[in-house]
Amino acid sequence: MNKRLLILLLILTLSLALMVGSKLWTLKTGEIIELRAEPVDPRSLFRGDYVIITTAIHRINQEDVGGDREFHKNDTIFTLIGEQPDNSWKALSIHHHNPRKQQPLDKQQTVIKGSVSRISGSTYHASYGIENYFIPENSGKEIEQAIGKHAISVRIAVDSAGNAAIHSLLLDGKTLHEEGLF
Amino acid sequence: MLHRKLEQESAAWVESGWITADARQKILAGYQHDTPSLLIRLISVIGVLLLGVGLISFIAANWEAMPKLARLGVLMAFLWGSYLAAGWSLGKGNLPRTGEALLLLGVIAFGANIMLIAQIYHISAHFPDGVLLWTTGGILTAWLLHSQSSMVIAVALSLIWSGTEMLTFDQLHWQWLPVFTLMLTLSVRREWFAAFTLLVIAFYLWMWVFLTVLMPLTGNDYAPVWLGLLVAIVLTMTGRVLSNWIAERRYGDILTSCSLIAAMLSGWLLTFPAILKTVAINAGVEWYTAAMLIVIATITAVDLKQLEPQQRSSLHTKFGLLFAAGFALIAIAFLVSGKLNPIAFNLLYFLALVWLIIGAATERHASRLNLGFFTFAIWLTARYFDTFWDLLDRSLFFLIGGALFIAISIVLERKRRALLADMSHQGREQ
Repeated sequence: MNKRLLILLLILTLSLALMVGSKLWTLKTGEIIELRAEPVDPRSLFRGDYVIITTAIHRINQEDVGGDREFHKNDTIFTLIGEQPDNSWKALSIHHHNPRKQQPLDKQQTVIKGSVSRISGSTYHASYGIENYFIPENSGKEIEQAIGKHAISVRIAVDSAGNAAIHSLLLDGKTLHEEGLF
Repeated sequence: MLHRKLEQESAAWVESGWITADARQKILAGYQHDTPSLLIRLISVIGVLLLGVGLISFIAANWEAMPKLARLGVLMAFLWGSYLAAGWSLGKGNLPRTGEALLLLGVIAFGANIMLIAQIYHISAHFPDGVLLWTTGGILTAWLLHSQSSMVIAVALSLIWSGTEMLTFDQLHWQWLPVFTLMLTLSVRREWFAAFTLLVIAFYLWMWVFLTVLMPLTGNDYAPVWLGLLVAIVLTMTGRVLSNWIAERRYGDILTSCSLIAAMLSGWLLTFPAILKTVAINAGVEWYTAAMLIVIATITAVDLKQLEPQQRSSLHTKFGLLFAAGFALIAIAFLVSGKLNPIAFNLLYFLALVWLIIGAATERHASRLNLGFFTFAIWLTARYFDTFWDLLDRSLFFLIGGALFIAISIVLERKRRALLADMSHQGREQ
């Protein structure tokens, strides 16, 4: 019994450590880019206060981008994004496989991995795992009230596999919340 | 409760000469511990719940102020503490009921870890994956520590996982089936009948959601009910065959009982002409119905073959064959014409009710007898509304309906009680 209990606890702990480790790996090794966000403030019974982050790369009109075609709901999508002269990031092309493995990227480009959450007409709605940002309780209103009056942006780390993690939340360019590793 | 019932029943056994008075005392002494164990289990569960609520309240009150590492520490302590306490209770502590309750707390703690770590590190990946990880933790706990309650929670979690994939992400989530098979194998190997029962119920719930997601693709909204009915009939018959084939009859009995409920309820839905008319034939429904008919015919033949000569000529078997022939005719007519006839289907349903009630009375199966009478009552109610709602004046409709149903309910309840009493009497005589 003791041996089996120990094995079980190690497996469970390892699976949780992998959850944390993969996020820390992305935060530690990923390239940091800044995306302009349009958050709203829904409340969830189970997950406390959080803001939903939507950026320009979340809505991709396939007529505006290159790359592959024929994506279905829940398909994995690799979005090649590029930095524009005004420092914003824009989707350049979409792919079924990581384009970084096929060709070297320019300095102002990176690839972010996600999935197609919805398709409306010629527009793909993508999720990259950076859509929810949990904030200290009761501070959601503060951010909600800032919408429209202040520029809200999010810094994300993107690793070489395309995985993304939220690094910090910014209000008018000033850091509002920053993620420490521990 | 079991001890009290055993006390009453065993007195009759001594009178019938089945057992001696001495043997009766030994049996009663053997079951003496049964009453307090239920109380202990209840107290353990309440204790675990209170502890859980207290811990959660305390942590929630101080959560924001804690650094990430401290939060992770608290979560790990909760997980390890629950499992280690369970390990001690099951081992040195010799407290199996408390140990089982603490294992349940351990599985809950693992789920809390997943959700709160996702919150701490802003992980918003495909969220059913988190439920799958939680389910895996439950299955592992059940497998490694032989815990039925962990298997029960894993079954429920697996349904949430697959249900979310299907209803939120519109996926035809067949991936649940291998997980289901794994849980089923484990439960059968360990003889966990509660988990087995829940697995059969889970299968039906999953199947209906799966078929509901599948059907809009073929433009046939109510076809899942028809397809579900066919599966329920197949599994009812399979359960009957299994009861005679394998040493442990309970697996077959559980499968038959759960499938009968599923079959009677989905059949009842189809007795509504408005619903039945929408079940149209198309490519998917056609091959599925034909394949299921062949399976039902095969299992029915196997079931008939294994019956004793006496049983083969019984009223129950005759009604069963009549029902089978009627069902085959209706299904073949459906395949040919593309429509199900409401009057023929209602007659068939009535035949199924008679078969169920006669079978339950013959096999002295009280719960199936109750199911028979219950479905008979709701079928009659539905037909009354169908037939007279438009024909009668509203006040007359309710007056006649009320009087009719009071009279019918009295007759049915008397008949049901008489049959149950008869079954109990026959049981004592044997």
